[in-house]
Amino acid sequence: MDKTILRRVQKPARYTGGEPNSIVKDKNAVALRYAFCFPDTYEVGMSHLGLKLLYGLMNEREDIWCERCFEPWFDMREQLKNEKLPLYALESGDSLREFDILGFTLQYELCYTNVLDMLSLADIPLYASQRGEEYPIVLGGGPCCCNPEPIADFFDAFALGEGEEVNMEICDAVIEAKKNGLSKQQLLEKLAALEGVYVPALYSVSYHENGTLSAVTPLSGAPATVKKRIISDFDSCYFPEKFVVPLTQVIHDRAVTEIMRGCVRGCRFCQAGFIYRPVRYRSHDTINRQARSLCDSCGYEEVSLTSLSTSDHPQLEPLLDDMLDWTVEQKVNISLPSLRIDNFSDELVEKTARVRKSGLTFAPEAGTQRLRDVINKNITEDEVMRSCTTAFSQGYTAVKLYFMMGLPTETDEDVLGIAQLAQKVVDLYYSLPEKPRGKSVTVSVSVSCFIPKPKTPFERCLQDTMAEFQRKQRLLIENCRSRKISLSWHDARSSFIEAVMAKGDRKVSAAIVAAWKNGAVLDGWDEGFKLENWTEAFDECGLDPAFYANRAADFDELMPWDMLDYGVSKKYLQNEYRRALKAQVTGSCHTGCDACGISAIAKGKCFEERKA
Amino acid sequence: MKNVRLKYIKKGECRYISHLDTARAFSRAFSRSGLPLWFTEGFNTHFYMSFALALPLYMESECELADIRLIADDYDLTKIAECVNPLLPDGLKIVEEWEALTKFAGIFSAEYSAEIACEAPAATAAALNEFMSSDSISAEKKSKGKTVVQDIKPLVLSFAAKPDGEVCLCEFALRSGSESNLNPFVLLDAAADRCGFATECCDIVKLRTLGRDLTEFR
Repeated sequence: MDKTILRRVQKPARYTGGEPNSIVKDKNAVALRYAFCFPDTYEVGMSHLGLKLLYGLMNEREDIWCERCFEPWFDMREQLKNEKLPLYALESGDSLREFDILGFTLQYELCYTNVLDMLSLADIPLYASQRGEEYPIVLGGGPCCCNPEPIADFFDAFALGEGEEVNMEICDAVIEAKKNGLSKQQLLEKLAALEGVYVPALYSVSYHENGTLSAVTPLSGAPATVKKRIISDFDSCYFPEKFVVPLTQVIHDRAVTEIMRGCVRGCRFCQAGFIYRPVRYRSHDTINRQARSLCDSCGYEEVSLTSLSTSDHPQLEPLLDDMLDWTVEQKVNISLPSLRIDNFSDELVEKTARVRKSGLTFAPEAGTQRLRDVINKNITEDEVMRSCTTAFSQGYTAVKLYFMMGLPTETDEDVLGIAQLAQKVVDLYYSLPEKPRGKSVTVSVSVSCFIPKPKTPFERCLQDTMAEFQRKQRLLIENCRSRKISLSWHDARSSFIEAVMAKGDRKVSAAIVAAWKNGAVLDGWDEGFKLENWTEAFDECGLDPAFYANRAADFDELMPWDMLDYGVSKKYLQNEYRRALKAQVTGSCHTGCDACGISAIAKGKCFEERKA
Repeated sequence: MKNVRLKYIKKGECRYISHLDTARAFSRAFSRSGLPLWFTEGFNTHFYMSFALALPLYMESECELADIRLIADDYDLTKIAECVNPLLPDGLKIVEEWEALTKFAGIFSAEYSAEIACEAPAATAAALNEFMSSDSISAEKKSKGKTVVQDIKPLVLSFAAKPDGEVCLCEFALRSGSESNLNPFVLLDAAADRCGFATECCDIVKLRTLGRDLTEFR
């Protein structure tokens, strides 16, 4: 690769490879070359646990070489295009074109244009139908696979659910196909026979006159519904002992352990909580061992215990005790993101602050009890106050509170509730005799825009219009007067596009291509996102984006994602939605099983069964 | 307690790692090394490593200097490279270690060699030699948001260029250190247009760090 272009771009270390623990193999000695493509910048991608997991797992196989590729920043894209250099994988420097499989992880919808960009930068045709056996198989995984229809035309296959096993099965199928000289159609049929693999080309879709979906028809022996994959024995499943250590600063540069998968809470807006069921824990011995092994091999100064709801892990306290045995001495900080307000104790704060204090973040999500009940975020104001009291008396002078606006049944009173709750936290601080002396408090309030997501009870709700979001944001600003409250919010315009992508069907793919041709790329970044790229694209394609984002659908309407089975039944989602409208809460799995349906797909290994 | 001075090289792909990122890479490697290291005291303790100079991005070096502190007085210093080098990225390696008895303020100059890819190496070499022999060389320097024009000729201690096949080879010595420092890229930037080359086509290696008496700084 011509190194001169590295002199013209910011942070060139993102494009060189050669990081400690990166794997270089002889490309002629492996049966399969896999490029793990993270459709966002190096800094974001290298913070992603899934990449490290699958990278480590695949490279353990002698016959597979997995490399990494990221979306280049604007300046590097220009250089690649001007110098006519293809986008390359970091370990070998080879063009993506030369790989057998390009595995894209689809973490959120605004990265779709980056997928197209990465394919285009390597001279790979965007549409799956234009790619024959001479091109790589383009595979997608990650949370957006619960509705991949807007990008279905670009991908050969999607792996639904957890990737550790199915990804290897896909690799083996491709190796077999190469060896036996199968045609692409034959390979696609083999892939569709694997559990958890959705092959869009083997389904035809048809629409009613009014634009709604009328049928999704499987062809060539593809299954009528595709069931997601679940790793049943989560405690013993693969976890890497080493991470690739970046040479340059990335967003999260620390040891990460996954302490559990799934969530028992059932907050009605949360897609992750529903699509990663059933809940499974790792034992605290395993977690401690994995954390220690990572810190020893990579020299990290921080280890993060990640999950959807960390304080729900039943062995969290003994785990922290075990970890403090070595982390304090080795000066490794323990980070506990995703804490619940209702089980946040003095002991927990004290233990995590032993080495260094990180920030504290809570997510009430809604400003009034009524709305919190609607969304099933079972948190009372008392619990918020109690947790903040704990934090403040332990010396924290800053807390961050996450909220959303545009939630179903929301009124202005609920929006104002956010300002009131934040003010109450400020007032609480000043009322405490044990607060840090001489220091003022900062309550950071971050308000994002609600996006109805597939596979949640709110999947058929509409999103507030951009104008409505902006009106509510102004309302909030006017009512958050205190200097101690720092208010930030999410751009309603990019949230709108995210909603269109989240609820879109295959017709949207043309708009994604059009938007990308208009210059849409790195849409998740302020520097990249321009609403006009998208609105013009929708116009060009004769599509009304509001049809997807701002239209409520009945539960008997066929949605583009209905044939993808994530375990939680449609009946359950519908029932939860009805309960939401009446502000009726549903307890966590701890308090009793509500038969969401996951136990069927999880082959009975659900929370309830384990308790018995 | 002992102050230990380390000489390390930064070559190859490591030239694309910034100084801060280099410091971080050392910090990680040292924390896994098992060496008896001294950490700073106070609320937020961290590994202590003090660098003589920040090497500019894109430059290679065979003589970078940094000090660490060991809490064991009689530790075998040769073990340091043995323990730490395997934990560093390829291209970043400790090559020598000794007890630090001087301060970095004593650094006076540095010797460099540069390879310039250009269209007409002979002409470029001649132009460079002439440029560097003039009475003054003005260069722009950005400081605190303002751009000032400075005469950097006094900071150029020696310069010689000659053609070598398809490239132009330069050997030069510039003032270096906390008192007075000239970044080689700034010098080459000033000459680039006049002498027919682009700075991005210059590969520079810092070869030696010298003290006031013009011997190797220790």
